[in-house]
Amino acid sequence: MALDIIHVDMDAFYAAVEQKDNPELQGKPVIIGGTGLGDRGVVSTASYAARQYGVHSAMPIKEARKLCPDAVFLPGRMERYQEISQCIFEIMSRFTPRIEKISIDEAFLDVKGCHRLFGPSRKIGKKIKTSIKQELDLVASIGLAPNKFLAKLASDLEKPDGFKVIREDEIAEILDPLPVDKIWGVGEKTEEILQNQGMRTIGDIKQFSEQELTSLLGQFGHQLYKLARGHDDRAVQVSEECKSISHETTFRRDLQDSEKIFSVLMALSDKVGRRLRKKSLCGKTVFIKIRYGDFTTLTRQTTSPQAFYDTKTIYEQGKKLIQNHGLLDKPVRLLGIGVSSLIARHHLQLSLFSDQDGAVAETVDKIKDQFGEKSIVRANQLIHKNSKQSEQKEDS
Amino acid sequence: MRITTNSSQFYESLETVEKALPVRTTVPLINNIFMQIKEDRLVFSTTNLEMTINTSMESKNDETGDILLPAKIIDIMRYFPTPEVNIDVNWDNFRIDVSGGSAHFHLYGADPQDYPSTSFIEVNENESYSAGRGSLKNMIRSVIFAASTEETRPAFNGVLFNFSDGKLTLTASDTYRLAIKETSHSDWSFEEQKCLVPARVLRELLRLLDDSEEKVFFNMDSRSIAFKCGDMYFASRLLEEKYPDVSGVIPKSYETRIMIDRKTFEDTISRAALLAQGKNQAVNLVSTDSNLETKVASQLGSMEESLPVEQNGEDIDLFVNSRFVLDVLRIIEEDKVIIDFHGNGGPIIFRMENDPGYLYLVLPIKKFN
Repeated sequence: MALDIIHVDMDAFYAAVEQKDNPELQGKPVIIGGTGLGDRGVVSTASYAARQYGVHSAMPIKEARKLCPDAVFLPGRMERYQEISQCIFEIMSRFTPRIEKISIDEAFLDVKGCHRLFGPSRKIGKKIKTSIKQELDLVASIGLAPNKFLAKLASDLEKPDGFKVIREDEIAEILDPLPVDKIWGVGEKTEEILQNQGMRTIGDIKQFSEQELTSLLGQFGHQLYKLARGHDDRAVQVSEECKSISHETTFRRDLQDSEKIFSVLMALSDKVGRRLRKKSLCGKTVFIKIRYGDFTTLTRQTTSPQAFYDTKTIYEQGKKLIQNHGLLDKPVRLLGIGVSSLIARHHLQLSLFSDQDGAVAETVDKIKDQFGEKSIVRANQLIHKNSKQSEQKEDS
Repeated sequence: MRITTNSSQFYESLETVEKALPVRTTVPLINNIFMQIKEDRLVFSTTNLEMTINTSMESKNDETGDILLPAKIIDIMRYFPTPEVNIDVNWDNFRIDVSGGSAHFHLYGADPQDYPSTSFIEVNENESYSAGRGSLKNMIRSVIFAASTEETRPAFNGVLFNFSDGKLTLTASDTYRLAIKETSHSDWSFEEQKCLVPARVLRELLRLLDDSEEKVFFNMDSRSIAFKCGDMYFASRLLEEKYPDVSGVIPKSYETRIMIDRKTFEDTISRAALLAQGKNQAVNLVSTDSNLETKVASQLGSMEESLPVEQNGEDIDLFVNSRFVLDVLRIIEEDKVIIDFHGNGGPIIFRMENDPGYLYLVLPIKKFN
């Protein structure tokens, strides 16, 4: 097996970004967490200096304050972290397109086939680490191994500022003495079960047969058996961006009344718009799906020059499609509407004379967030009572 | 008949009218240059139906008549070998022989009988308004960059000329920003009128106006506006779209005002723009007390630079399109620029210290998590 899987994991990412942006914080205990909620929030990241006091992520802020009263507590700036995260992923993408994003600061890379261009995996790993350090002044821990499980384990072994390779012939030597909870998927409960059977280290697990493990743990037993031996055949899943967002609904009885159909269309458009806005996306294409009583199904789409994210535009484009194509000449069994050609809406240039619709949609979203989905509806949605629960779809 | 004239002067006149030649057209003949041969002058005209340009030059001619010259004549004059050029016109078939030195061109002209007639307003110097050429150029230049070049909302492809008593106000916007320049002149007694002039036409006019304070005469009616400048006549159709009322978007007061050295700020934003990416070219402006920080973080990397400012009001932290900021900093000729903020989501207004008639408003960029 080749050493082709790299796991990149940023050290105390949020805290490190704050320290990078404000050098006065360097070396100090910095704790990022929901200070906006009074002290009811939890720690999302603690710098290594803070960890020395016993502070760790998911700990209540209140407790963290007790352990480390001198720490600098910050509310966190997600947009800044996203920005830096993009830069980190840009660095990784220089070496391979096969990147599986685990979170904002963590990813698997499959560098198989990249060696002719960039040299052996070890060199690629080093390059990523130094590029992140030089270009962003941040520290990444790198794990390099034949598979995902071992790569993740490797990056963790020498954290912070780690660079660890696990070669195939070292697997047993490295794994055997480790506690069982180092295995991916072994949480508190599983750990307890294993410990009751006398399994404290990964080496202990290897004393048990696959059958014994499955009778103890069910399906997970198979996986545990393999993982304890350092086997993991999961491939790096290249994360794909969401390409369209749509909702559709099947009517209890086939419908032909345009007023009712458009009322349902509005409800569906609203759901699509809301998901679009939640994901900070906007789109340029609206598509309509219609299935008639005889199960013939058709789709129509239209693309505008300007991207939109408001319910009204989605609805109006959809309605226009139905009207312009004369789609209501037969009773309709299923109606769907969606938006594609999606673009991330990190930034939105405000406009002087338009975009009232966007503002309305966002205000409605806020009301729904606070008071529930049914707290505010459009007048024409009061008409329809004839549809089943709609299905939401997200296509990649 | 034979015309004998100076080839470089001839080229200069042709170059002037070239700007109104259509790039592509389905209308026959308008891709030619209409030349009227008078006793002592040659008059050239071109039109793309949206605008028209006329100019003339002195020349002693033994016959008079009209002919359409192919546009190629412009390049031929540009590369002509001798200062003197002889043009022979055959009135039977509108063939033209152009010769000088050892060069001899034989060209196919055309009968101007079917050349479309256009009806732009005349400019009679005694019955028109006037302004210094440099001043008019400056006025247009200070707003035109804010006009839209996208074709989605045609009104914003125009610059609004608002004539009122003693005052001319130019307005341009692409909906993200707005530039207004108001000029008063004791000589002006305009009838109240609004003209929406295509910005692309005005860009051509800018190239034809020199910076002198010699007079340019102008006149307008409900369908066209025309300028006369020496021998040159330049006219444009007006856009028929209704221009939105912009007065409502301009706040009466400000929450934060800063005064900053224009050139230094321009240089800083130019540097920041090097890393700004995407359609929005966003830069982050953070003004606290007496310090303005300009920051960019993109996939290319990040930069920050801070400048001393005089700040009056709340601190500011917002994102703005760096190109929109550079556009105005480049046309302001004063040492200092005043910037008014209206919170982090409200408009940003650039003003000149010594020209209360000028205003440039930009809306910030909203950031999402």
